[in-house]
Formats: sequence, structure tokens, C-alpha cells
Amino acid sequence: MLKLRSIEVAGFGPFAEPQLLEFPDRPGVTVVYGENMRGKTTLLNAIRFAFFGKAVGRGSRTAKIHALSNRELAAQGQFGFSVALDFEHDGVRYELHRECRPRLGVEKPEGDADYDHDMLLRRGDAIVSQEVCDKTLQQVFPGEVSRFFLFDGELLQEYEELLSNESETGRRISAAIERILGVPILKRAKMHLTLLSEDADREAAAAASKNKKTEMLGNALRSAIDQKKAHQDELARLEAEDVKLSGEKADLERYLNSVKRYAAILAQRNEALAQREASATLELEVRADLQRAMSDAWRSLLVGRVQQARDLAQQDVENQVAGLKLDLRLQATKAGYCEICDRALDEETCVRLRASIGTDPGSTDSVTQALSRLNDLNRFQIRDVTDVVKQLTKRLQELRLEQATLSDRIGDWTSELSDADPETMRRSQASYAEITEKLVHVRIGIGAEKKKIDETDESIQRLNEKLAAAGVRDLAATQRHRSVLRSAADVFSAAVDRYKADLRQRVEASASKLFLAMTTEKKDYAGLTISENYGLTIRHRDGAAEDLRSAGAEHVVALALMGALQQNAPLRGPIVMDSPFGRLDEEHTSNVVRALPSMADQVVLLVFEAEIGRDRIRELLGPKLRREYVLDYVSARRTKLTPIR
Amino acid sequence: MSTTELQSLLSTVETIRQTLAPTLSAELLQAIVEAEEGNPEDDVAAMRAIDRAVKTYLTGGE
Repeated sequence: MLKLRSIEVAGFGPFAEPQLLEFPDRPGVTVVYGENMRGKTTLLNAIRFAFFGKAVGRGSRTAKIHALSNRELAAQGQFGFSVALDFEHDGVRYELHRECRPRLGVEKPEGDADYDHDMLLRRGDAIVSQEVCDKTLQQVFPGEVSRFFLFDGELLQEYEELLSNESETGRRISAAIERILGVPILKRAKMHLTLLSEDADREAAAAASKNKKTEMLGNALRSAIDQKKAHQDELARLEAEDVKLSGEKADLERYLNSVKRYAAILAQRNEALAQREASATLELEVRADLQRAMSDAWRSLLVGRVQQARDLAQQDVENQVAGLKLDLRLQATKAGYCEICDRALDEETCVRLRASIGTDPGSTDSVTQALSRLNDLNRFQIRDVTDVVKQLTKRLQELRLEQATLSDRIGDWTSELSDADPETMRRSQASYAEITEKLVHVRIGIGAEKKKIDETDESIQRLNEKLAAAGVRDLAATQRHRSVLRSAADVFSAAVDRYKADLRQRVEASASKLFLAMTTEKKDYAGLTISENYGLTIRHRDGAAEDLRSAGAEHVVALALMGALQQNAPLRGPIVMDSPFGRLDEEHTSNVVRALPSMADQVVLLVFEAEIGRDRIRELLGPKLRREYVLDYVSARRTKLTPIR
Repeated sequence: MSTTELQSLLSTVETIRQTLAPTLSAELLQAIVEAEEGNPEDDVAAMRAIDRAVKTYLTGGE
């Protein structure tokens, strides 16, 4: 059992500073929430990189090491990254550290060749020597089966290919399934015993040739063995040709499948281009609004001073008005007549007014000046624009992020479209037809050679039986040696078929159970039926196979297969799935989340919250939800991994 | 591969042995499975281990 304990990444993708993800000890699910572009796929790739020294990009292509460095640090001249993975395998603790850094003398790396790649593996307390690091890791977690542990929606789609007898991708997945299920042990035993029994045949032939009584039989045996060898050599050549052509056919299949999506990708790209343009236009408008808001923002700095000046001016006006009143009284006492009241003043009133007049009367001019100053100060408008500026700045950031996200997607789609031009498609289709035809001939040749080998083998058997019947004592030991090897090879040959049949039954039963737990149409379906290639067909309650199934149903079937393989494979480990709900509706998504703990002891779900929200996940998983993290935005090139539970 | 899974492989091999080659030693077949399990990526080492197991079996007079 393989179990992840923790992973620390630094300078890897959007993770500029070291970020640590610790996995819980107890069986259950760890969920990492993250918006687009925050680094969910990068985390999956970090685990891949730790185990296999490589990461995977879109279309299952190997990603460039150079492209994995954090872009912000790279812009500052710091290239390279490190990944440290702590895990357990069958109770033994391992610490694996990989680091990529620019080669000595390379200041600004431009490609993968400019990097040095270091690896350190500690097993328990001992450091594993460099020579056996890869071999040790291959035993712990064979790369060929990684697809059943670390996957995304795109990889899940490939499982449809298992239903096609002609698909090379399907063949490869079948081989990987047999690998994870432990079949190769039996297959290799059969192959090795056959090779050893052939050596024993040669020894028996050589020994028989030396004895006069059995010389002719010995020579005939040697000749038959030579014939068999010639056919085996031809078979090996044809099989190598088969592997080469199959690989080319699989690549072409992948390419042609991807260009089938050409129109859809083109539409998506065009839509994203339009969205990016609209976003850029909006950004300009928001920027202008912000500029306007900022043009008034300086006023808020003068609030205190203006208020102080206004208070002083107000006071001045009041003083000047009081002075003016006194001046008017003085004039009235002098003239004995009040111009404001338009009447003559008696002596008593004049005396009273004179007594109330001070020494510093004002004038009309000074009142006018004071009022003018107060008016000026009152004209100064103070508007607090802090909130507006904050809102506009936030909106600007959102628009920039939106454009960065769109640009990234557009970049991906453009690169996917770059090799989908009509001429390449036409040539690829022609090559595909040519290779398919060649493969037919090669496989006919393989069948014919196998038949010849079987026939020669029967001759060898007959000759050996004759030799045994000859009763030559000297030959008894070699005869017994080859007989034991032959019998053992026959046992393992039959065991391969038997074991595969048993496994298929077990995988079918487990997958059916998981499928019924995840499908929303439990009343209609009885389960799944497995084919020779491990392809799964949905079985209706009336017994018929559902030939046509939706994209969502394919997805659920693929997830059921993954869980079933985990439950039946000798190698068990964590399932790390990246955004696996893309093609599922809400109810299916809920059913899948609920089934996660039964798929593997350790499940890590990297999820976009629009697929399923935190509250819903918590409700569905209950105590089986062991830990939650969120990928927090710091900038478009910088993400922080924060534990939230 | 854990002991349980190895047992599952061995159990299949043993079932076949009983019907196809009952005179062959079950211990020898177990040694062959173990030789393969211990050398998953190394043909030469696996064949050498099998050869050793067969020779031991033959010299043991079983």
C-alpha cells in the first residue's frame, strides 16, 4: 500500500514560495479547492514529477521542465524549482526530493537542456544510492500504472477506447490494467520458463548427438530447435514492428481524436477572444473612472485645513458684521437720524446709542471682504472617494485576472489548434490508413509465425519423447530438467488465462457496485459487463447492453473502473483526481463525491468550487472528509496553499 | 506486492498445478513466482533465480 504523507513545492508553477500540503493519516478524503489558474493541475503534476521526474500537459503530452518554473521568480532571474514528497510504502517511510536548477554557467535558461536535475531518495533512515533510485521508485509506483492513481477529466475520457478492439490507446490501457492487476508476474514466469526450457532442449539435443544410440534423434532435435529459433527471430522482428507501428497508430489516433474537437476548440477560443476584448474595453472604462475618482482624491488631504480656515472666516464675518452695526449707530448719533429706520432720533436715544458704541467700529468694505472669503471657502467641495477608489481598484484587478485566465486558455487552445491544419489532418488520415493496413499484414505474419513455432514445438516434443523412450541413462538428467521446465511453463501459461478471467470477474463485480452507487438511474441498470480488454458496458435490467451512452455516463463508468482496479490490484495507493466532474450533472457529482471514500483509502480531490461547493462536500463526506485546503490568489503568478480545516 | 495478493496469484497457480501437473512440486512453483516478484524489471536475474530454484528442486530428488 502506497500512502502519501506530505508534499512541499517551491518555485513550481504558481507556487513561488514553499507551500506544504500535508495528507491526513487516517483513511478518507482531502479536498483542495481552487479557482482556475490557481494551481490544481500543478499540484497533481508535482506528485507526478516527484515520482517520475516528469509532468504532463494537455493532450497527455510531457510538459517542458523549463515551463514548470514559477514565472514571477523567473522574471526576477530565479529559475528552477523543487518538490519534496514524503510517502509510505508497505509500512516503510520514504522521503523523495527532486530539484531542477539551471546548469552551471547558464544565467537565463531557455529550454530543458539548460537544467540540472537532482534526486535524493531516503528509505527509512538510509539514503538510496543514485543507481537504484529509479528502480526503487519503479517498484514502489510503476509509471505505467500511474494513470489509475493520478488523473484528470481528460485521462478519464480515454477509457472509452477500451470498448474498441481496434484502438491502440485501448490496447495500451489494457496492458496497463494487466500491469496493475499483477498479471505480468505470471506472464513473465511463463516466458522465462519457456526460454529456459528451450535452453534445456538444446542441452538435451547436444547430449543426444554425442551418444551413438541417439545421434540421429539428437541431430533431428537440433535441426528442429534451429528452425524454431529462426521462426522466433522472425516473430520477434514482427512483434517489434508491431510495437513501432502500434505506437505510431496510437499517436495518430490521439491526434485525429483531438482534431475532431477542432471545431469545438475553435469556437471556445473565439468566444474567449471576444470575452478578453470585452474585458479589455471594460478595463479601459474602469481605468478612466478610477482616474476621475483619483483627480478629486487630493481634496480629502485638505479637509482639516479648509475646515479650520472656514471656521476662521466665519468668525471674521461675524466680527465684521458686529463692527458694521456699531458704525451705523455712530453715524445715526452724529446725524440725529437713522437711515435704516428712516426716522429722526430723540436726544435720549442718541445718548443710549453713543454709550453702546466701542472704539473699533467696522465698515461695509471689510464685511464684504470677509463674506467673500467665506464664500470662497464654502465653494471648496469635499467628497470622500476612498470607497469608490477601492471598488474600482478591485474591479480592475478582477478584470486583469480574467484577462490573464482567458489569455492562458487562448494560449492552450491555440497550441492545440496549431497542429490541426487541414493539410496535416489530411496527411495524418492517409498515414493512419497506411499504418492500419501494415499492421494487419504484420499481425497476420505474427499469427503465421506463432503457428509455425507451435508446429516445430510439437516436433521437438515428439523427438524428446522418443529420446526419453530410448532409455539412455546419460540423458535422463537433461530430459528431467527440460521436462520440469516445460511442465512449469504449461502451468503458468494456463494460470495466466485463469487469473485474468478471475480478475475480470472481480473487477466487473466491484465496478458494477461502484457504478450503481454513482449513477442516478439505479432502477434501470443492473450493473456493468466487462470485456476481454477490460472495457465496461452498461447492462440494463432487461439484460441488454446500453450501446449508446452519454458523455456523463462514460465518465461515471470510467470512475467505477478506477475504483474497481484500486480494490482488486496488488498495488494500492492514493487516488489524486483533478477536476473530475466536468461532464457530470449535480446529482451525479454528488453521488461520485459520496462514493470517493470507497474507491481508495486515500483520496485527494482537486476541485473548482463551481463544480461542487464546500458546504455540499462537507455534507456528502461527513467524517470521511479529513482535510481541506484552498489555493489562495496572491497574484496571477503567485498562489498560496492555505489549510482551512 | 503484499502477502495477500501474492497468495491470490499462488492460489491460481496451485489450482492449475493440481489439474495440469500434479507431480510437479508446489514449492517449486511458489519459488518461481517469488523469483518474478523479486525481479520485476530484470529478466536475467529472474531467469537465474528460476534456474537456481529448478536445480535445487531436481537435486533435492523431488
